[in-house]
Amino acid sequence: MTAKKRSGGKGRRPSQPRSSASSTPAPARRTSEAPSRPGLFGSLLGRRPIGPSPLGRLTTALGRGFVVVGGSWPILLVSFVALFGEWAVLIAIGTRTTPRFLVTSMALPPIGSALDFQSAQALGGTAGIVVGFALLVARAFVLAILAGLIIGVLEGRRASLRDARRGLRAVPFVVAINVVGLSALLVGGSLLQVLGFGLQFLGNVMLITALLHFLGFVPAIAIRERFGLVDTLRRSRAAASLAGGQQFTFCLLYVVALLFVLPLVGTLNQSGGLITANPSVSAWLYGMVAAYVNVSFLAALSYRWMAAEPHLATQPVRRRAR
Amino acid sequence: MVGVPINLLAGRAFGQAAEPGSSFAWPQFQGGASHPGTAEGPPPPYRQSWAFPVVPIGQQGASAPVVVADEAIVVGPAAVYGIDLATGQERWTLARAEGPSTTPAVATVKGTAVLLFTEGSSSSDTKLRAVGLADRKPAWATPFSLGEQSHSGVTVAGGTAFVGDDAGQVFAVDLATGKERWSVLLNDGVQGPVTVADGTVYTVPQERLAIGAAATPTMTPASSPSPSPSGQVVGEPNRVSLVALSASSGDPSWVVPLPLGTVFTSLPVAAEQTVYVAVSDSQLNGELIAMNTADGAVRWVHRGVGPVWQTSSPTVAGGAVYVADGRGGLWKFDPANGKRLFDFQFNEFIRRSSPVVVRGTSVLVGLGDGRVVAVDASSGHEVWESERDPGLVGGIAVTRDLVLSATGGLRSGLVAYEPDPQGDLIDVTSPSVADPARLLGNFAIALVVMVVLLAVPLGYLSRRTEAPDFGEPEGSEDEDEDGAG
Repeated sequence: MTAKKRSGGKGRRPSQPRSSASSTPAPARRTSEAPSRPGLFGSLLGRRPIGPSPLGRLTTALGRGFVVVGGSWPILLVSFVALFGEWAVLIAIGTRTTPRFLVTSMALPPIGSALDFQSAQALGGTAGIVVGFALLVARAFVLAILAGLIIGVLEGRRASLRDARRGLRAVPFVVAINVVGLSALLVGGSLLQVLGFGLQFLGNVMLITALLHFLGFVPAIAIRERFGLVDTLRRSRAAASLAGGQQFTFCLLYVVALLFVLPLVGTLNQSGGLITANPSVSAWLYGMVAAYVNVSFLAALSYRWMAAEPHLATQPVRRRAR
Repeated sequence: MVGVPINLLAGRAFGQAAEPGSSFAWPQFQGGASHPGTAEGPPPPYRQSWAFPVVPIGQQGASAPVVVADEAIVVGPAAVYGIDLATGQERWTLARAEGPSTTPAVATVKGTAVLLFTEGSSSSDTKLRAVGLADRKPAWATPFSLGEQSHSGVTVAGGTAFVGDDAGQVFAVDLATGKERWSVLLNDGVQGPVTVADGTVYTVPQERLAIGAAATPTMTPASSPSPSPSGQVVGEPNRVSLVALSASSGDPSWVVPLPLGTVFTSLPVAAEQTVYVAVSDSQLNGELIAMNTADGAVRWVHRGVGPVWQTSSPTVAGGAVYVADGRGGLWKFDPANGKRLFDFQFNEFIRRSSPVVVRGTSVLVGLGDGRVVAVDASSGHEVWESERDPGLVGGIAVTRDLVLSATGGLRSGLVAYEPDPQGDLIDVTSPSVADPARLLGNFAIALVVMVVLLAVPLGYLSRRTEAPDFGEPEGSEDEDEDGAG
């Protein structure tokens, strides 16, 4: 087994050929022995796998995500400073909101960008669109840097400036998935209006989950590999569809945590429900816990991709034959 | 009928809120047919002078008050009350068929003061009544029958009373005879006093908001309007719209559909060739829209305000537009371009109160927790607030000496505030104004706490945990270094 106690040192592990089966990381190797067949939403809609999925266990990924993020002060610092920056920008453009907004402030694409655009609409007209897009790009930078730092830690190093720089590779990809996701939410949201409020809400939740399902691996792929946008999207979709991966369940868990559990917890903090430009210490703590959860899910997604990567590297993603 | 001498009323007229030519201090909703909401009343600070109870029935308490000479008038669920402004004592009570407590109006008819109010809760007993203010005897041969229950209240302008009902009928009734001048069927109900300015009637037909226990609004659908004999139903189909009607004939001047997704709106207010209305969507996001009175063309839109309730009206005074939203935000806008001049966030809902500008220097508004608050019209700082009291504050009226506010809940009634010579003004900045020291300080404390709480134990755990060996892909370093170089 290649699993080993991490040193936490600065040394980098030797580069490994990504097309070689011998470089398969431990969890992936364990799972790769059983052939897995992809389904549209993994095991939810696809065929049941014979063995464990290359994506590994859902709880393992989440556990690693929370430990990697929580155990790295640079990642925490970037997350929390970005949280503050987002809040400061919203206040500067005149948004009147409560600190409960901080829950979704560091949300993964496309939720965060959708909220940015909603906030920017307060400016109206062209200014609203320009500011909305500027926020989208800024968010892409933050997410890409965080993904770079996370991947650095997952690769066995301490998060460093070099990892942050490496993460910048993902910026155009994250901008792209933000645009794709935002467009899908706008179009889908309009179409879902015909369903009435209850079903529309449910439909929106499923739409967000599906977008995250298909696009969630893009930042990690963009940083770890050298594909173009289309191939990166295909690989993300292919990884998400690996049988037994429970990727849809994973994404649904995230959406439920973000849209239901964290806001519910937020009601315990009374000051968090008041419109203010100056959140209290407790409101900031709450926002930071939420940011930690959001970034931990990003880390879990990165971990899942890295676990599945060798399997997909030897299975080129191709268009489905007609 | 014994009429109140008009010259006496004129001599005792308080404030400047009434429409030009009116002899009354605060004769109808927001002081006039166009909802001006401004008066030369006393400046803050205030103290409570007296309180007059009105027995509530269900959710119905006291209406917004109107003021005539030395008397305040409020409509309760089952009676109309005349209250002595000096003492707060009841002068008279007039029974009415039980129904929504809507704002009455006072007008001059043939030299005497006449009080108009609606009554009833069903199609069979809903009426517009007119009584002499001095003796409370009917001013008309028979009350004017409305088609359905009415929540609109009464607006008077140019010898005509305007009233709407839940089915969407708007009636123009001759004040002298009590006969219909015209009626128009809108595509939804009329939820508050119609606005009349410069010969035009403005209203937004819409479903009625009912406030649930969780303070979330739900809509009560009105009965489907049946076309009037002429076959015309005014209003944009399947869309909330602002309707402008000729005050003399009822003919539609224009109908402007409001933004898609609009669920409810404020009452419109018209001033200086512009009509303002605040719209809200199902997510309770609001926007203030300014339109030309001539054709309804949109002049500007300001997004980002909270939802403004159907029973609240913007106010135009002193070269500014004021809006009180349902989340407790009091906003001031430049009417020329919609630029926000200030906002004060009270974090307490505002449902039945509209901003009232006193002497052009203070803006009063009533909150859901029973407070009446005053904000300085130039700085945007809060300068005075009353004690909290159970029950939300509704409509406000201002006389030369008093500020009157309707209160709801179990202690429904009318509360009067007088100037307080011993009182002190306060100076409170809105919580929506950033305080850099506090903002950064709170963030820094939380940051340190979180990093210590997470990074120390999880860092230790991370070093102790066996992790899979994910290597960095081949070639990654070279490209990075190239890029960095």
